[in-house]
Order: sequence, then structure tokens, then C-alpha cells
Amino acid sequence: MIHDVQGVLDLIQKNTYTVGDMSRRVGILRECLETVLFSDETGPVTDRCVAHLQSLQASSDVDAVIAWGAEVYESFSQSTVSEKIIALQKTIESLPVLTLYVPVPFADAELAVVGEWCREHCDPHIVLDMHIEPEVVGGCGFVWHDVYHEFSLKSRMHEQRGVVTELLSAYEK
Amino acid sequence: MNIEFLGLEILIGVFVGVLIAAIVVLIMHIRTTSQMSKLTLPAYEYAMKKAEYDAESIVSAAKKRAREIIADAEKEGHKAISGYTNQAAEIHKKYREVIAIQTDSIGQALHKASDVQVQALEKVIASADGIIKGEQKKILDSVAGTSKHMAQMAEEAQKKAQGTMEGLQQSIDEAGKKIQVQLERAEKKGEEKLEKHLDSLQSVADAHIDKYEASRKKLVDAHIEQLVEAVAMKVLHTKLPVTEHTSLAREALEEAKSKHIL
Repeated sequence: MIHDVQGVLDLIQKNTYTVGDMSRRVGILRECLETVLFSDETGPVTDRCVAHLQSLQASSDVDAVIAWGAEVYESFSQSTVSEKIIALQKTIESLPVLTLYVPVPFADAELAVVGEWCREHCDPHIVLDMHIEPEVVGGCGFVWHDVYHEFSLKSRMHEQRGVVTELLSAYEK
Repeated sequence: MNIEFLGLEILIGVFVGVLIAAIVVLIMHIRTTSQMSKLTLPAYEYAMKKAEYDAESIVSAAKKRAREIIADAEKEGHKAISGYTNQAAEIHKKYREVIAIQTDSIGQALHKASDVQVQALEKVIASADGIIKGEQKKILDSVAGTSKHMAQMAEEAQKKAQGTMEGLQQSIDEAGKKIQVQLERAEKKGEEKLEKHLDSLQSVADAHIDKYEASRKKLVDAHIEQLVEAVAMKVLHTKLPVTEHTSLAREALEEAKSKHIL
């Protein structure tokens, strides 16, 4: 059984890569735990949590919370749930954030690819703050340590300006 | 005359009446003032009132008398005016008669005088007509002589003018030839200058055209680039699958990592 918040966060981060997803999913977890732990029903917490989550409207967020597993649910008790959730939220707020500007919305699988790469090569606890910016065209722009860096296709095309006209001029000759 | 006399009489009457009244009032005043110290106050008042009464009766009597005098005077005046009016009417009638007689006599005299004058005037006109006819003949003769002289002068002047015209025509022909020669020279010079100027303008225009061509080319190039860029962006944005976008984003992050930005 996990007793510290960091352990819970590590489990959560296994399938959650963005700030928005993390905020929504922790909210679902809190609501689930408060419902289960303060109800008159008896039985294992995990079973009751899974049953409660399955009773909710199906979504990728609910699936992700179910996937966190028994270790997460059983680390909370009636007396510690409130305190631990607040501590968990504070810890999430302190995580390093990489703000990404991409041209189209990414699905969970794509987010996982990018997120895994970032955690492997930049910071193991990094979370992504995704923004959709069609002007980017391709590639991405990102903010890291409060500095914006442009690695988009648009900037590349701007750098390559003149090539087309050179080609046209060569063709004309 | 009678009116003036009556007016004076009325005035004198009024004056005498007013004078008598003033004298009576003065005497009463002197008497009352001299008795003031001797008499008691009621006696004085009685005397004053009596004097006032007497004075008023005197004044009223004087006024009455004056009115009577004025009425008499008016009557006399009316009588006199009517008499004078009658006299004037008679005089006017007599005057008219006299005037009519005089007018007739003057008219007859004037007729006679005018007849005499008309006869004299007719004589004068008859004599003047002869004189005028003689003068007219003289003038006509003089005009005929003058016109003949004028015709001779005009003929001479015409001849002179013709000669002058021929001379002028000759001068004009010579001047025209000179001007033509000068114009031809000026034309040649002008053509040369114009050609030079046109050449210089041509070179300036060529330079302008070159500049315009270059700037226009730049503009078109920029436009083409923008167009290509826009098309590329649209195609990439709409046609590229999400997986490709993901790999592009990852490649961008890898590049950033290789540059030690991440």
C-alpha cells in the first residue's frame, strides 16, 4: 500500500500527461472516494470505487482513473481523503510544465507519445499544457522556463523564403 | 378803418374798467391798513370783508361793462364788415367790366399789330429766299469744284498707294524668304535639341521602368511566396494526419533537445 502523495502521483502520471487531464481526473477520483468512503455500504474500497466509476458516464478520463488501480484507492481512508487530495493537488501544481503549441488536437495516444518522450528526455515528472494554434502548421512551438521557442513549420517556411522565387527565376532562364 | 377804431375803443374801455377797479382796491387797502392799529380784530375783519365785497362788486360791474362794450364792438364790427363786403362786391363788378372793355381794345390792337408784323415778315422771308437760293447755288458750285479736286487727289493717292503696295509686297516677299531661312535653321536646331532631350528622357524613362520592373518583380515574388506558403499551410493543416503532426512535434522537441533548449 502506498502511503505518500508522491507515490500516488507517480501512478497517476503513468497514463496522464497534460495539466487539464490531471485536473479533471483528480476531481473524478476525489468525488469517487468521497462517495465511497462516506457511504454506508461495506466491502473492499477498490471494488466499490470501480463500481462507482463504472456507473458514471463512460469517458477516457473515467477509464484512466479506473486504470490507476487498487493501490491508489486504498491509499485513502475516510480520515485522510480530504487532506491527501489537497496535498496531491498542491504537488500537481508544483510539477514542471511544458506549454506546447500544436496545430491540431492530439488524441490520448499521441499525447502519450509526446509525454513519454518528454519524461524520458527532459524531466520524469513533466506535464504538458496543450494549446491548439493552427498558425503553427506543423511541428510545434513551446514555452519552457518562461521562454517561448519556435520550432514550427511556419517559422521554417519563413526562413526558406526566396527559395520558391529562386526556383521560378531559374525555371524562367 | 372802423374795425381798427372799434378794437382800440374796446381795449381802452377794458383798460379804464380795470384801472378803476385797481384804484378802488388800492384805496380800500390803504384805508384798512391805516385803521389796523386803531380798530379791534373783529372790526378789521369786517372792514376787510366789506372791502372785498365792494371790490368784487366793482370788478363784476367792470366785467359786465366790458362785456357790453365787447358786444357793442362786435355788432359794430359785423356791420362794418358787411358794409365793406358790399363795397368790395361792387368794386369787383366794376373792375370786371373795365377789364373786359380793356381786353377787347387790347385784342383789337394786337390783331392789327400782328397783321402788320406778318406782312413785314412775309416780305423779309421773300427777300431771304432769294438770298438763300443764291447762296445755295454758290455752295453747290463750290461742292462740285471740291469734289472734282477730291477725285483728282484720290486718283493720285490711289496711284501712290499702288506703288507703295507693290514696294511693300516686294519687301514682304524678301522678309518672308529671310524668315523662312531663319525658321529652317531654327527648326534644325530645335530638332537637334528635341532629339537630345528625348534621348535623355528615354534614358530616365528606361531607368524608371527598370526600377519599376524590379520593384514589381519583388512584389510579385513576395506574393508568390505568400501564396505558396498559404497553400502549403492549408494543405499541411488539413491533409496531414494527426500521427504525422505528432511525429513532427516530437521531431521539433528532439531538435530543441539537441540544441540544449530542453
